[in-house]
Amino acid sequence: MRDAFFEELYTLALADSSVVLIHGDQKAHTFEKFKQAIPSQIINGGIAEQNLIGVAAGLTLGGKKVFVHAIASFLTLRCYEQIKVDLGLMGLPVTLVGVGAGYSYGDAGPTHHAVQDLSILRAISGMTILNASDTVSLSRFPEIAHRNTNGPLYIRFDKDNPPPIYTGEENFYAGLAKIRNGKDVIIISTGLMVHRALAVADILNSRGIDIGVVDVYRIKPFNSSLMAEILTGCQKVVTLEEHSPIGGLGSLISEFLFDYGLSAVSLKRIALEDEDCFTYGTREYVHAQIRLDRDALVARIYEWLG
Amino acid sequence: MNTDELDRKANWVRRKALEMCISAGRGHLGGTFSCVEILVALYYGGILNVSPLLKNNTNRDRVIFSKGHAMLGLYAILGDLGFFDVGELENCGKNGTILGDHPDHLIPGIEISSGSLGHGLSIACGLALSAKMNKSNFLTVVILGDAECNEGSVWEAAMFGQNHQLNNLIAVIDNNKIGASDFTMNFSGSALMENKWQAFGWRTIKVDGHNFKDILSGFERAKQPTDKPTAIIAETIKGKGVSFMENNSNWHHGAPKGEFAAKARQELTYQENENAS
Repeated sequence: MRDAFFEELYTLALADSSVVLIHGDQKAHTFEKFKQAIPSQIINGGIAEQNLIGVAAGLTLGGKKVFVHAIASFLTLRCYEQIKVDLGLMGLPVTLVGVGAGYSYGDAGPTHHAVQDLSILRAISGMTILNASDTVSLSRFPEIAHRNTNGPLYIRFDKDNPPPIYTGEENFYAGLAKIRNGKDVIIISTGLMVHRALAVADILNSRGIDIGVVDVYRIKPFNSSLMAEILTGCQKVVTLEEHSPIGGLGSLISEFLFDYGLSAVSLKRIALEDEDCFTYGTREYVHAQIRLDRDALVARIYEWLG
Repeated sequence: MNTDELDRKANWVRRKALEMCISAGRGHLGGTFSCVEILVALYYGGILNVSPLLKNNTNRDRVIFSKGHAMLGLYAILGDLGFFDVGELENCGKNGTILGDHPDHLIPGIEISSGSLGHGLSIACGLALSAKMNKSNFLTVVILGDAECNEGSVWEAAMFGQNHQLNNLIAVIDNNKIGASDFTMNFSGSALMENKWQAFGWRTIKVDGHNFKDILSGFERAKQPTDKPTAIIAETIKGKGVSFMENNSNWHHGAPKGEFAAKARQELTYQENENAS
């Protein structure tokens, strides 16, 4: 998905010389275009993510629009205090671009899994968090980030290319979208798992359950009023995410339901277990082991519905 | 200001910092006192292009005060120079003050929020790089403590600064050789500070951090053309100016009371009319 993002960023950077991309020794096809056409606007800062964030803060104080790119887990967990102090606390509109959401880097093992980043970044005040479910949405995020002047923004995406969900007509400023109609049960998901939610909904629909799907592509700020509108008349909600059960989408939705006076809605939270993953293999294999594959999810939700 | 005037200003800053600390009942006097001459030289010695009138000017020089806990002297200077009402110094440490125990970017004259160590050099590198990109000629000066240099991010930034040939960046290391609890040689090893920066490809200039002639000459040399960033290693004494605080880690933090307060005041005797800024 990387190039879907950086192609758009490249276009923005050509038009706006204040755009600077600083990365932690990463590779992407588009980086060659930067190096050829606008070499001063791309910096390899080396494997020194904490410094990248501080440098980005300084460049921003000096008038630049800065995008920092590294592997999601290293960019966020390793640099948490730099993000808090250098960006959040000073309200600097630096964009963090993390590749490798969830188990993207599955075989690389738990050091590389980004499964706590949403929890910790949600806790940074003034932070905006965008989590892409496809390349169509992801390719719109650079423009959203470029326009942002209000605090740091984190963009998170998968390593591999999932099929498109969106057509390109959508306005990605709403923060979430109902991508499948259904009134009995609504699955709320984010990132790659939105595709799994759709696959699960297909099966459950064929079994006579009217089931909708919502993609929360902006985790923060969360669009509570639009979500409440979508949930009108719905009494059962499932959240589905490839992230820690603590502080991610499931937490967000349970907080929302309670705070919004919708605690009568039944909620089933499906996420990773609160444990590190030492199972190696393809993503599909790993998901099957931890009952996040389509058929297991159908069974889990079916069982919950009674 | 000539060096005699700078000496008098430094004395005023120390006494003001002492009074702010006593009034607040807390503060980091040790590290504050070790960098008084460095800050006075920067702000009153003609080194920097900064003033309250320039606070929104993108070409102003930038001071990044990375060792934020030692802010008492810096607050006194910024108040004295009119970045904010000098009367606010009396409120330091009191409810509702704008002057927290660590400096934040909301205070006029403060460029970044600091307090957590090891952040300032990276931000200073970014500012210095932005100046080069924008073909702006402002200078970035960052003040670090020697124990702060335990933070790994300092050396990530040191590598970055050298790689980008940030010759518009000066890092001043307040080398007082004491951390919060002990002498740095007992927990940081014995490698010389100067050698570390040289190994990272920086130009180093060693100065007596309490001698204005030496400090000013150091900054002049630091402004001479080079393709490297410059580290000024300022040899200093933690707690400088108050005999019982000097070289004593017990005075890293804390306000003197009773006879200690009296003795400190006695040693930092100062007449209000001496502060002729």
